Amino acid sequence: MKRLFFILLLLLPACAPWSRVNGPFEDPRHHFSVSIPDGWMKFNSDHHLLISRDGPFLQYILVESRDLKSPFSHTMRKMQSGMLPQEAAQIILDDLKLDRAVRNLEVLENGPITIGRSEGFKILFTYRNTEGLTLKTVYLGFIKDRMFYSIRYTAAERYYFAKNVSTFQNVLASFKPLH
Amino acid sequence: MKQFSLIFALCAFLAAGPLHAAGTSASENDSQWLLSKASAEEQTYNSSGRILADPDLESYLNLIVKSLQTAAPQNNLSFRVRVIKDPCLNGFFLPNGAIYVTTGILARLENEAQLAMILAHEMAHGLRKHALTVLRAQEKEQRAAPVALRETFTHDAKGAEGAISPLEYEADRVGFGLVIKAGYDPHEGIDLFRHLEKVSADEDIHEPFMDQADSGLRLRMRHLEKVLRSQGVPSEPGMIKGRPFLEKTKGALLENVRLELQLGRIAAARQEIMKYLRIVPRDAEAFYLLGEVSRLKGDDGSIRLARALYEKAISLDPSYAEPYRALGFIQYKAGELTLAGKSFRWCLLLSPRRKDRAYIHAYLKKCGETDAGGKKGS
Repeated sequence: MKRLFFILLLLLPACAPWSRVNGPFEDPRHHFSVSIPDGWMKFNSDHHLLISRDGPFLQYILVESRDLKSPFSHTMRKMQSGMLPQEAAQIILDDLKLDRAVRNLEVLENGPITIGRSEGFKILFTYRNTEGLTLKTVYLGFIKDRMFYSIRYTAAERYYFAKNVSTFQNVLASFKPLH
Repeated sequence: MKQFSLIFALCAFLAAGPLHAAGTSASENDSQWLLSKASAEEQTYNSSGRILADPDLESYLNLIVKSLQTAAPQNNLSFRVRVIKDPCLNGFFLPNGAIYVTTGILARLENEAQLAMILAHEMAHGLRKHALTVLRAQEKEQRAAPVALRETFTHDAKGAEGAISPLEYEADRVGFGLVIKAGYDPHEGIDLFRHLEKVSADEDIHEPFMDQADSGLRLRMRHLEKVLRSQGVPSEPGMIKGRPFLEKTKGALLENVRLELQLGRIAAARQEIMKYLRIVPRDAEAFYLLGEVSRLKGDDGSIRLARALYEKAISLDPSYAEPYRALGFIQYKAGELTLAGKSFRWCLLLSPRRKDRAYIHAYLKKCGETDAGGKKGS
């Protein structure tokens, strides 16, 4: 019994959903590298990198790489190699528009951007979540080598978005897709 | 089957139950609690940005509800209908009289008699105070086994083991009575279920609430056939009203096409545009959306067809910017940069403040265009 208790105690930190990390993050499963800012916590997930400073309900940065064949949550449309960045951005917007938890979606900007050497898109939008909180997101994405890469920053529109946007710019500058 | 059900409306009420204050009966308290929760829910839906702004359609729907209500026994519920921009086949009711129908279900109906059956079904939930019945069942279960509250409630509303809930049968039966009394053709009310079953099969729609579509729709249809046999078919032929229905719902139909395209349900989008073109044969936006359907298919033949459809849209309305942009996409990807530049330039000239103008400027640059004013750089 005592042994089992110690085993559980050892396992607990490994299973904790959030861990404090900073500096370079590189995981071959994720196909990208990025630098995590000081004081931010990382959510342990096999599917993406999610980091937050004050909790994901107030602000988070999500970095993701996905196979072009991977389905989205709401739209059945798929990314394809050779798609224009605007077409890829449209799929992201379609998926958002179909999400019933996303209310009063307002696209403030939608335009092309170069991320590293890849041509991609940048969408800036606001929406209300189911609790009525207005959130602001900057969402960047591009298609490269059969993968869709995205990096987004979401925060409460009041106070938090402006507070951490420069931190996001640093994370974005450190972002590199891996081969 | 979740269509026309209470589930959507009532699931939101699971979070907390009513408090029974001293001096008031449990029944009054429950009713007041339901009304206040319903009003809050209605406010949430109405301010969600997902309500279709079509006052003409709303007036039409509310007139149908009014005619159905005159056939109903005395009640103090004030029914009102709004349309939600959602491609699902759904309709639901809130206990304060608010009824919502989706663009998805409006797009699939054929006439006013079928629509009346849906609205009457939702009204019947209100007339028979089904929300209160479900709440009571929930409270009873809570006392018996609080741990199983959510699951038990859900089963009660959906019907245990996937069967149709008795409340749904009752709403069908009561609603069917209202439809007949209001003078609609009862056969259309029954055909509604057959029609929805066919639509879901034809369009290969796999939505969560269609899980039990086969048995559910058929069971409800048979139930109404039995009701009609027992009551006897009215001697006067009932109203069907196909054309007025199509005229009034054409805006919702086109909105649903846009939603189907977002969803990636190409076949459904195509069918709905063809239906729209039967109502409005020379509509530039419909031809543009038909072009989008072809372009999204992506094969060479479809791309050729998309070009022709965009050109048709431009010929019908030369001031409409979207087909120019879409044509520009195709030409740009095919390496026809001069033609693409011309298309993108027209798009910007017609719609200079568009949200995606940064993309268009970038395309123009790559096409050798220096600005949107028509000067060529190379």
